Amino acid sequence: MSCDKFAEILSDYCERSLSAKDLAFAREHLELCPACKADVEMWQKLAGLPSEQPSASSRLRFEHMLSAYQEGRWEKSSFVPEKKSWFAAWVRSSFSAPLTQGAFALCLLLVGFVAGERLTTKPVSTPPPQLAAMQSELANLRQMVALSLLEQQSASRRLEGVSYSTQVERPDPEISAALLHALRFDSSVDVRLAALDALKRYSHDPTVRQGLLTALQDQQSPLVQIALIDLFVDMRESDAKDHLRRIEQDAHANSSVRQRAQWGIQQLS
Amino acid sequence: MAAQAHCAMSNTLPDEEIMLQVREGVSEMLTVLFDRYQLPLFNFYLRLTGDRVVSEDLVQDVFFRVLKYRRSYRPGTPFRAWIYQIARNARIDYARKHPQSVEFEPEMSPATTDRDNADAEQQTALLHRALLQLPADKREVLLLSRFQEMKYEDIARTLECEVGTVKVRVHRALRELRDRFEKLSAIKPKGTSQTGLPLPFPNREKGRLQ
Repeated sequence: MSCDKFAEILSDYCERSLSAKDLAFAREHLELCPACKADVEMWQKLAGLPSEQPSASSRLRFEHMLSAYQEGRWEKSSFVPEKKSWFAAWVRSSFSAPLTQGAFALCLLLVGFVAGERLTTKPVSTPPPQLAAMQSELANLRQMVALSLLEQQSASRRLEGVSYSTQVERPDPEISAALLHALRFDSSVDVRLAALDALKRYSHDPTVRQGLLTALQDQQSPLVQIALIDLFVDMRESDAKDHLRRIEQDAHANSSVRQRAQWGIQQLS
Repeated sequence: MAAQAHCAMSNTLPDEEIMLQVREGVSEMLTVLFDRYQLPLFNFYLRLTGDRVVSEDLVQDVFFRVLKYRRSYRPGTPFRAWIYQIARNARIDYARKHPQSVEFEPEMSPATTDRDNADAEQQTALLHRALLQLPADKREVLLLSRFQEMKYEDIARTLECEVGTVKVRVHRALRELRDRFEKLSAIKPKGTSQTGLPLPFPNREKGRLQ
C-alpha cells in the first residue's frame, strides 16, 4: 500500500518538489523498501542518457516548409498532405517526390519532342541547334533531379539520387562533387557504398581520384574502406599506397581492412 | 528581417501566447516554437525509436501538423501537452504507414563493450538497450515524465487518460525498465563495436516503431 503511495510521489521526490509531510513519508518509506529505493536510483540513472543533436539540415527543412506555407505553395510542398480521395492521394503521393516530378517532366518533354517530330511536315529539316538545346535541357533536368535527391533527408531518397546520377550521360563535375560529399559524409553506409560505385565512372578525373584518397582517410566503415581499397587496385592508383600502408600499420583499424590494405599494397607494387 | 526581429523580441513570451499568434496567422512565430521544441522532440523520438532519420522526419511532421491544425489549438490549454499529443499521433500514424517496421532486436541496439565494465559509457549503453526493450507505450510514458518536463496533469491530457492512471503507468514502466536493466547488466556483453566503444544510435532507414 505504501509502495503505491510512494509511486504517486516518486517523480516529485526526485525533482525535490514535495511538501514537508510527503517528504517525511518518502524518506521513511525508502528506509524500509529496497524496491522503491532501487526505483529512485533507476529514475536518477535515466538522467545519464545523453541528449543528441539533430542534424543541421533539420532546421533548413523546417524553414523550407514554413516558407512554402507563407508563399502559398503549401499544397505543392513535399510535406505529407491530407488524403481526401484515393485518386487525389495517388496524384499527390506520386507527384510530390522529386524523382517522379522529374520523371514526369522528362516524359512531357519526350512526348512533346516525339509529337513534334511526327506532326511536322519537314521531319528532316529540324535544325540541329534546337535538338542540341533540347538534349542539353534533358541532361540538365536529369542532373537537377539527381542533385535534388542527393540532398534529401531520407536515405532511400539519397540512394535513388545516387542511382539517378548514373543516368546523367555526360560526366558532370557538380554530380561528382555531390557523390564525393555523399561518400565522405553520408550517415548511411548503403548510400556511401552506392556513391562509391557511381564514382567509378569518374575515376579518370584527377579531382575525383584525389577525393577518393581523402575519403579513404576519414572513412570509418570497414565495408566502405574495403570497397575503396578494391577500387584503388582496379584504378591502379599508386598514390594510394601510402594511405594503405598507414591503415595496415594502424593497430586500431579493423583486422579485415588491414588485411585488405596489405593485399592492396601488394597489388599496386 | 522584420519578422526575425519580431521573433527575437518574442523569445520571452510563453509558448501558449506564441501559439495563439501562430493560430491567428502569424506563421513566422512558429520558428520560436521550433527553436524551443526541436531538441526535446528529437530526443523524445530518438529514445522512442532509436532511429535518427525517422526521428528527424517525425519532428518535421509535428511542425507541419502544428501549422496545419493550428485552428484546433484551444486558448488556455497547455501548449506542451498539445504538441506532445500531436507528436504522439504523428508517431502512431508513422507506425501505421510502415507496418514493415521490425520489432526490436538486441543486435540493433547500441553495442556494449567489456573493456571497462564499470564505466559510465557501458551503463549508458545498457540503459539505452533496456529502454528500447520496453513496450512502446511504457517507453513513451516514461520518456514524457522523465525528460519532457511535463507534469502528470499534462501527460494525462496528452495520453487522454486520468492522472492516477499516468502515475501507475510511469511506476510500472520504471520498474520494468529496472528489471530489464538488471538482467542486461547480469549478462556478459557479447558484441563490441569496431572501435571498442559503444555505438551511437544507428542510422537506420526504417525505424522500429510499435
